Amino acid sequence: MLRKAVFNLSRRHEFLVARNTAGKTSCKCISTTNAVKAIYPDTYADPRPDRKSYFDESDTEQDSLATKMVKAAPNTFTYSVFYDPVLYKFEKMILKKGKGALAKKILQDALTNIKIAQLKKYHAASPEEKESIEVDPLVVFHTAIENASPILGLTRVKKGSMTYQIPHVLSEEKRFFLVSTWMLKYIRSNRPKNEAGIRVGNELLAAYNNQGTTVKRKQALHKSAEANRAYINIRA
Amino acid sequence: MLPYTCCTRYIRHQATTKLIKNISCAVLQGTNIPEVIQVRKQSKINLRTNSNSNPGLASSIKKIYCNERDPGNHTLKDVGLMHEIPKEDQSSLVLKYDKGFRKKFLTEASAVDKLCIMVRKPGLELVNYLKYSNYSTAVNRYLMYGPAGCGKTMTMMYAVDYCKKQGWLIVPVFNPWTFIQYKNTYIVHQREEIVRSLWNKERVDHPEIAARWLENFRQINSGLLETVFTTREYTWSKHEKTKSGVSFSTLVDLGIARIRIATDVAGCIIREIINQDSPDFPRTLAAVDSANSIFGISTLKIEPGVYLEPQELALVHNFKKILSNKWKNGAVIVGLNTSGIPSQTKRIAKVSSEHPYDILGQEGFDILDPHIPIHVPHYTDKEAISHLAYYQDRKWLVGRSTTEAGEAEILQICGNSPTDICVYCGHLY
Repeated sequence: MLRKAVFNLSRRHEFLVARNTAGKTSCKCISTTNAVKAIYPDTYADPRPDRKSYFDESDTEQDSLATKMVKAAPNTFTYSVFYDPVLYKFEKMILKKGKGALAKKILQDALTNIKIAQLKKYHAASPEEKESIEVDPLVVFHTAIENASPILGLTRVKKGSMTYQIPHVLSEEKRFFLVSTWMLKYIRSNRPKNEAGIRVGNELLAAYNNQGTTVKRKQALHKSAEANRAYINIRA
Repeated sequence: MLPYTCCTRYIRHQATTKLIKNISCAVLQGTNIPEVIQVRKQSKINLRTNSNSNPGLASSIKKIYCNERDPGNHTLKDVGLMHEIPKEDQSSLVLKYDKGFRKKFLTEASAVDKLCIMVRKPGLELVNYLKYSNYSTAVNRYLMYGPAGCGKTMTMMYAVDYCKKQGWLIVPVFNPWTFIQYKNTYIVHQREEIVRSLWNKERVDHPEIAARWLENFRQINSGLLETVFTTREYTWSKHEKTKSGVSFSTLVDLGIARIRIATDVAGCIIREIINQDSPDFPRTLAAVDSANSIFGISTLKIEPGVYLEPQELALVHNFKKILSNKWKNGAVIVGLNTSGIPSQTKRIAKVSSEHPYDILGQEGFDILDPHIPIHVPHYTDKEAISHLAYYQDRKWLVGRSTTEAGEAEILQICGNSPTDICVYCGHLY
């Protein structure tokens, strides 16, 4: 069974090599799909989308990239200055039916609307208040997600005939997933009166000020977790 | 979010361009930035050209705004600086309907609290012609051409600002696509009507659009309309007449109150301007934007199955008269527009060339034949950097885009075209 599986994997690997390297320049790429990751031996280095990692790396003879082989990078890696992994992930949550250009446009409109709303406040305020107003849309986005993301989640455990709801700590990926699904579900629910970019921008601004439906939902979760704190040690 | 991709071997497949190499080698403190930055040869590829923390070139510029308020006194040393329009003048330049400025520019200006036009060479050329020309002979016509999104309407508004400070009368025709295009809305009371005209039975009126044009005309010439008088008696219909010697302001009020006559009122105003006799008549400027719409095809129907030609529309017939050179004591500025063609109409084909003969056609080019052409090109390197410096001063760009690497990336993607920088910097941080 194992031999057959390995044989099939290597055949698929050759097929992918032939299909992917046709028409491309000769670099040390082998294939670009995730399914073939396991074939790389341990001596291969990971591809890096970050420019700073090249400068921070200790450049000895054994560890330098000039001597090592590098795995293939997916098509979405860039070296641009404006790359942010959290923003990129949020854009993929907005995506529907494979329409990437529309998701990109919605995020861009949301960031401009945040910037316009904050700038109007900034230019109308007195010089003492100007230091406290944040104008950078990326900072507003990060703080909004931190304000609206929950720390504790509840799971159901059946012991005997009773089902208890037990609080536990959430991982970072799960926190981001919950925030983005709550936000987008609320935005897509009612009949829309505005464009999509305006709705996303308004929701992010409200979360930045600790207002809005996503922050309320997180606070409700935290309250019910506190109410059930007696059942933390029930798992046996 | 991700504009371009690279593969893993950054050392071998580094994507460098002229600008990224050159901006790092320019001098920072106090000296002037040249108009064209020279290329420097690099023998070895260096990863450390642009830093992610040091501020870029645009933050070192100290002088951004121009001190002079009169565009007639600007010189070649003021190229690249921003000419500000204060709030008292904004109420008469930014019109209620059919604005000259674009929508995105106006939302940006309302957020940033300032409305600025950049001083460039084609603008200085136009104002210089208007200053030193002879107004006792026939009218001069100035035609602006160039690639899309490079500033033809902005130079026109710069000239309109100059003319208002000299006390001229302005005839604003900023968007003739509204006369010619059929508006496809499912809301019935928003559709616009077409009616047979009373003046001439072969032509067709736009009652609501003409009333809006008259409101624009009243807003842009706020104080001048009471000093100009008519010289003839006009009969609009059987029971309505106006005597001679009536001021323009009463005519405009008549047209707005009585919508059935509004297009004929607009025609009378233009007739008075063309046949002027008295020495007290002010100088007039006719600012016509996107003039290639008048010489094309329309999508309006007055009977089912038959499309109208633009010659049969009364407003278009009147605005063609002012494009001719048979009158005195004024100037005509014409701009072309290829990107504003409405997408609903499949009968109008998009033109890809910049030359005015290809855009206007045989008929339009013959009407405008002896004209003075003005070329409006892309930015120079110095102007692009001053555009970014203006954004940093007004806090539109804050954070990563002020660094060397951020600037180099913006200029590589957008090039030197003004609209691309305006659109791309909207969502940047």
